[in-house]
Amino acid sequence: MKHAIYKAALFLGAAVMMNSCSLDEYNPSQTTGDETLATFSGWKGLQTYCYSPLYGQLFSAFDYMSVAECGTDLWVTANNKTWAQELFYYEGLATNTNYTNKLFKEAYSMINSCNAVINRAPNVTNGAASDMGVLTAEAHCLRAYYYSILVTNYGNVTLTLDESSDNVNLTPKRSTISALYAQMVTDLKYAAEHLNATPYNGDYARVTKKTALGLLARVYAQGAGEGLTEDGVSYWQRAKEVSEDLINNASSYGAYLYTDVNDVWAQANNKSNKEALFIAAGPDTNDASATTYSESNLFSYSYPNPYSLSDVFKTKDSQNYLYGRVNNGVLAPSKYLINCFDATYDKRWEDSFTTAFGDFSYEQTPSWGGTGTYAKKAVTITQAMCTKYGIGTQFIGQKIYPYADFRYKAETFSQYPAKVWAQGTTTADTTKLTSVKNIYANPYPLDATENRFAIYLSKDYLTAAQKAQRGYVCINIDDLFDSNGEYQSATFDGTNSYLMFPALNKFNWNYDGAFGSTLQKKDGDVMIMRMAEVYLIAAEAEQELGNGDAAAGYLNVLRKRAARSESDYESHLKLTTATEQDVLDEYARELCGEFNRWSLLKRHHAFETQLKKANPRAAAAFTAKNYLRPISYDFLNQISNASEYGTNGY
Amino acid sequence: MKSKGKSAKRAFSKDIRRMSVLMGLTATLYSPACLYANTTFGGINNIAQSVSQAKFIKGKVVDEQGESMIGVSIKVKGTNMTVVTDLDGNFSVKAPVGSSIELSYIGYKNLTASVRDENFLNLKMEPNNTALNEVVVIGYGTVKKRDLTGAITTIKGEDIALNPGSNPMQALQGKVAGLDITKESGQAGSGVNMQLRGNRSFTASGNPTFIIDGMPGDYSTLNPNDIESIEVLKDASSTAVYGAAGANGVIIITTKSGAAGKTNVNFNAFVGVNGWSTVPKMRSGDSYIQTIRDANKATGNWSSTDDDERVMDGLLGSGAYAAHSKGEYIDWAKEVLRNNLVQNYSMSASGGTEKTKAYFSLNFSDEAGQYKGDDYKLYSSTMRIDHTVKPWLKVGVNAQMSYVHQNKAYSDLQTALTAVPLGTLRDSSGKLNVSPSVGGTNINILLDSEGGVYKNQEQDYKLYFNPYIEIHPMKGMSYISRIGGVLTDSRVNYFQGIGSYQYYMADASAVGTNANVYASVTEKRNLNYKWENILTYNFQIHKDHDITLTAVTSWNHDRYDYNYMKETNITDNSYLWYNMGNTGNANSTVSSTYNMSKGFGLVGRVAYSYLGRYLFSASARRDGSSKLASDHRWETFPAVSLGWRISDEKFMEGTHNWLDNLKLRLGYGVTGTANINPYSSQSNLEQSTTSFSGNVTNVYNFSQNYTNKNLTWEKSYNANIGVDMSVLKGRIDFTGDLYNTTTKGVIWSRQLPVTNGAYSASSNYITNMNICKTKNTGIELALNTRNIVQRDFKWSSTVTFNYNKEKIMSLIDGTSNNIANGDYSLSLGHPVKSYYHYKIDGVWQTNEAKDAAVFGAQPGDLKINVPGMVRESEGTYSKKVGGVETTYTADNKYSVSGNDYQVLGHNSPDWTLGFQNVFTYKSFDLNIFTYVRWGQMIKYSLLESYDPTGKGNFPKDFNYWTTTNASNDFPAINANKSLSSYTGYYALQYVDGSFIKIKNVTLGYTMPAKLLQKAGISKCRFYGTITNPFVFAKSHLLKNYDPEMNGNMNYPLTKQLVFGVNMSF
Repeated sequence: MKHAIYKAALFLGAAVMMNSCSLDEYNPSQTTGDETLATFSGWKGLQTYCYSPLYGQLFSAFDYMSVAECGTDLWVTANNKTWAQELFYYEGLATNTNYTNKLFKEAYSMINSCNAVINRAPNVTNGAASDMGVLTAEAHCLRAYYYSILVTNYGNVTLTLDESSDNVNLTPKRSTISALYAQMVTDLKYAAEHLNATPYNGDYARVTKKTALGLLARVYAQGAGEGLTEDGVSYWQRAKEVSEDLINNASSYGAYLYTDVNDVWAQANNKSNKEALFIAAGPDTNDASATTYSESNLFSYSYPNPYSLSDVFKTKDSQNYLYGRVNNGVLAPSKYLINCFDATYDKRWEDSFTTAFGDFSYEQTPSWGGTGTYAKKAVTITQAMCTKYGIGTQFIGQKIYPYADFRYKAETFSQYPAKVWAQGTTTADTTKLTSVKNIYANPYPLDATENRFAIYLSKDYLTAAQKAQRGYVCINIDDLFDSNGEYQSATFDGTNSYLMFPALNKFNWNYDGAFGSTLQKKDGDVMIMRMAEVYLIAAEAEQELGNGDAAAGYLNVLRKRAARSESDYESHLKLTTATEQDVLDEYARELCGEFNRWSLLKRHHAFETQLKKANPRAAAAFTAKNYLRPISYDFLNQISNASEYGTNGY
Repeated sequence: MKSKGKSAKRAFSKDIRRMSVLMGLTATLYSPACLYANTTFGGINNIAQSVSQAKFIKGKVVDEQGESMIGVSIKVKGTNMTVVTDLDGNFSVKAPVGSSIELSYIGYKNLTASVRDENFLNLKMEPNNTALNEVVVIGYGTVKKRDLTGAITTIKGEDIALNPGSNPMQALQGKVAGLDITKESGQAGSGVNMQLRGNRSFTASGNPTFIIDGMPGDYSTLNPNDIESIEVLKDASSTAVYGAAGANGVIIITTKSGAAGKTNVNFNAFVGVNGWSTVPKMRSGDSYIQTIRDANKATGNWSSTDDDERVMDGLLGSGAYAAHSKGEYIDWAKEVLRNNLVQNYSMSASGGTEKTKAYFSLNFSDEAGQYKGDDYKLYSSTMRIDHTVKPWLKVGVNAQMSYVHQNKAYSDLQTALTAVPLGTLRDSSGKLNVSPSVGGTNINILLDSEGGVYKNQEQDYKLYFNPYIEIHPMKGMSYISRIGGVLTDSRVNYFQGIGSYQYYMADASAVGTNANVYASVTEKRNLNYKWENILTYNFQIHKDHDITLTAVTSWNHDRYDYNYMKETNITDNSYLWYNMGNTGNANSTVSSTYNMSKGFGLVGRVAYSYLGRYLFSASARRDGSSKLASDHRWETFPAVSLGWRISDEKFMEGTHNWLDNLKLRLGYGVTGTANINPYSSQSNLEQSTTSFSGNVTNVYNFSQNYTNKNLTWEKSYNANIGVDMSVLKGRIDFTGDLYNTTTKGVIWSRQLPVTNGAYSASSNYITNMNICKTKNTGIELALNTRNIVQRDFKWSSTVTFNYNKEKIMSLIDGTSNNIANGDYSLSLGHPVKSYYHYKIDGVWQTNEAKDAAVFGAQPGDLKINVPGMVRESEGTYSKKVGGVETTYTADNKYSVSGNDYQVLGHNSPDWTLGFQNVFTYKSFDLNIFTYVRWGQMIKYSLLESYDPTGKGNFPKDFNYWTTTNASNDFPAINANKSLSSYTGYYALQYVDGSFIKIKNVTLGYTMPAKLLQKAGISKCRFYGTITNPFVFAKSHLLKNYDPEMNGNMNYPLTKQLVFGVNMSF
């Protein structure tokens, strides 16, 4: 009996003993940070990760685009929809607006990692000094870039240059506009000094010297709008100096401006564009793993669905290998933007907007069976169509043939590079297919005898008689707008034509390597900044500094390469002097859709004037507080000093 | 009811070929009518013929009212001889003079009578009114019910077995005041959700801790027929001995064990039909086209039926009107859902000698869901052996084993219901159309159910193995050491092939294999053990002072590993997941993880009773866990409770004629809970890849979880006041509890402000912090009454009621508010699962156009309630913000924004009520259980399927606004508008989900024992149960929808009609 008690006591004692030494964890599936980040490969891995938001979110999804471009004079909603109205029209823009909240997070996300890379560089023991120097400078450049998005949109946010690691700051304080700009300038100067003209390791997505200089010019220009000066010199002056340096010494920086604007948007030039200063690079779909990375659906926001006119355009958006699955169609150009283009002389019209919509066949892919043959895809014009759309009855029985033909690339099963049938073709002879620079840039103006396009949005007003001369549906772009300058929200001619609008095509790609696994995603590169902007900044700065003639000189470079001919340029596009309005208009023509309009209007304090003429709905809701975006509600809920931090007035 | 029974039979006979041998046996038993029709009640006096060599005695048994009692078991002690009384209460048995007989009857005290030299015994049985001597299982011990000081509810095994089902927890719905149980899905094998006394945590699951025979176990695969009792420990004074695992309550399940003597064999079976879901009636035919007319009438595009064809073809594509005229509509609910078979068989054997006792059971449960290919099969077995080695030494083992084989059908019923209903499901050759709808892009969800293109299969093995040794070194002292080993393995085999729904979803015109054709195998294993030592010492001082001391050590070590492999671009559907790795590395994915944790707990408890009248208990548990940083590894959880049996006091003597028992209980304790993952105190770096310059590159990034070295358990401080009362000789039994639980240090997985960086462009760093506080106050009532107690007819009722008020007292740093938490919002002063969105006041009506204009709206738009907005006069509103009043008019419009969100309601109910009535008439018993859940809001997404263009389908009875129909349910129908163009449309989904339902009705018939005796059967009962026969929802928007589904639609809850048998040998 006693024996048993002793035994029991022994058991208990043993159990008690067990605790003191063994409540430790064993974790074989992760590594600790400090050791790995002290190696070159670990540190470089973190440095590369600092690029991840660019194609990961900022330039592949609509959030940043909506913040950077909407709410300006350039864009309104298709059919005057109440959709993302917080951004398009400032209606109900609040601290919990998703787009601005996401951008805040995206832009801030990697600043801590940039800080870690910069501050931990001295701890790395096995890195070559040259590599370390360049990669550190890249982190400086990226940090400045991310801050530039934040400052432009959200004002004086928190400036952090330390890695948060164990010391999480739950009561972030706001910095000042001037301190933030000073830091960006410091970072970009450092980067410009230490980066090479060619990208590290040949990775073209990495920032280089020209990136740092371009961003520096941009930051100076944006800061100039805040009235900032550096050593008593206005930021406009600095912007002028940096941009002129980049223009004048372009070749030494590896900077380049195509002499023909068509080449900027040529599909073949999309990957690693020579004019680009800074690229958000999409994954290469020739690599089967591409689809596991972020892909872009930007195009789906800027295209109407031609299947809305399903009697003449037979391919559903879910099966459209040419335009992609255009199911978000909302971003439509304002009348002001459309009118900015003098399409008769300026090629940038069709380089920016698809206005003629044609179908495609897949003769080059016989394995896909018979449904997509050239003959089957042809649409016969009927009496009903003529009555409905005002097509001349002489076309009854004639056919609208496919415009393009794509090849399904079996090796990577997600490529559909397309070629174009010649105008007037009526039989499928694949040997006659040609490649064009940009399949989305339709010929302008569309020939009356065209037989490849089903729907044409005409910039030049066509009378009913003129329409009847054409064997396809013609819609006057002017008719798409109501008297307020907003898109019609209901049918005006008994057809679905009101659902169409000119489609911004800068983010639609069709070349080998651009198509993702679904029709909703494409993988082309996006230029975060390109050389043309440097000319615009130079012009803008000169104009602000009172040198209208010099400004015109820079604008003329862009106008000249956009002109349909030398004589068109000389007689119609050449400027002798430039006003602020000329600068704003030129920005619209050259960079519409390229993530910069909102910041431009902000630095020119031009919302009040520009919105009034171009975007009446936004003009009605716009107030002074809208010069800053609301601080994210989520963020305010995460910090301990929300009321001190403030919402930016929302 | 009748016709359903018939169709059940039809379904049954159709499937009979597929059924097991066991099924055959039940099939014979299946028609109770024919069995008892051949039976007569006469001739039952000659039951004891087999007895010999002893005196033949006769007798009669009466109850306390002198009424004769039928079916009383009479056992001759020391023999296996048992007889039962007949209709008149008479019995006869041969028994040696000097021996004794024992009478037993449920609800009555056992009676022992000695056999003397007389021929006739008149025996009277006394009801076992108060059940105060029943033993209640508490943490690490047992206590007599009369000495209980905590809030514990006991449910007996018989009550669980009354509700046929494969999951014993289902049977507890509405039976335990304070334990909210819901079943949201009708998928085969789906479990229940449980929440005790309201939500306290934000991230941690509200599931109670389950202890089966002293060790962790799995209730979901436990055979309900193996359960002896379930005790639900509700207050902290009861659960604090479980320390960090106690806050959500502890449910202790005790399984049946063997008893010395005759071997008992029980057989239980039921078969039935699962189905008859109520699904909202969708528009079809006339109602479909009428909506399209209305939508186009609103835009001026339709004026008479002459426009039908143009409008319909314009909307859906040419041919649509022709299809409509031909009546080509698809009734998706009918196509997808069907009635199916459910069956369960279990058999147990128990018995033993004085030294060795054993219990063994086998169980097979087979449930087929309403979807083709949705089924759940459970094979389980329980074994329990107890052996007394020496008077002071006992050893034993008990084991629970199960294997589950489940096929899950793919379900997206809601998408199908809301697609264009016009179309044809199959082509002329009978092949399924990929896109069945006219002009629609939806993919046919039936694709996955045919041709072996889709399989989602789960196979789970579970083994719980608990050996123990028990020593009684001296009187009153016991020492138990036991180990609970757990070995579980769960494997999910998944395949979506060429031609599956998923395949076409990605690309409707896909050809050949691609990345959407894939197979995957996921395997998860747990290897856990727990070792516990329990020392108990009970002693008396001067007879009046009874003291029980308990000391416990508890050590656990849990290990988990996870393996996953996936292969895409599989070229042949017949490979399933059996031929992976042969399409090249680029198509293969593998991953594996591992984690572990350890914990140690020490418990001390003293229970003291003076005269059995004054009761006191105090305990403390010290818990340590490896999941926490070493400085915060240890935590103490104390508890104290008092009980006062007032009815034992002298001054209460005058009440003894009516008051049997009155006890007051007071308890206070601290318990813990946490959703703390292993390694929460470690900070790590992750490696991954990214696409860079078009190439795949290795990158490193900080892991998402930021270390919080101060993290510890959430602690609930609970006070409980309870009253137990029993009056009129147990005719009325009442228990009431009032509780207040404050939970401090509630863990919130705090997203770090992005100024500290982020894990990725879309995900913040997170860190778990103990930074919030919640409070739950509530009342629980349980009332058992025996309303009518007569010889032939008995009626008893049980009412359980729980009201709970739940509140978030503080959030992060006390300043944050309305933080999104999945579908819910964490809002100060509101319950944890609150909904926060626009409050919709209906629809702007035609005569309110001027008011609507102030908000930029027009008649037919949703009227959004703006907090603080005051209507000054028609067309003029004003709102004060920060002391500044702004006037809004049509010229100075108010833009509604997210700042106008409000807390709309909460997902947890205000109160629940269970009401059970049991009627017994002679051999028949009828059990009706009604359940009420009130005050909860649900998010019913079908309400958001309303499509103002009329194209997408929605339920027929959605009452939408038109200029002539001033509805307040849905905004204006209009061919040019999408639902999302109505500001506030998203909030249409939030609806009051209060409901009353008759949960089940059971009618049973117990065969007369005397008749069965010949066949060696001691008990045989047939029953039929119908589950979910009636539901009433408070909101008119929930027509044909069972709100218990909590807004889900894809696996509608079924009605079940089963017939079963309980037999004992």
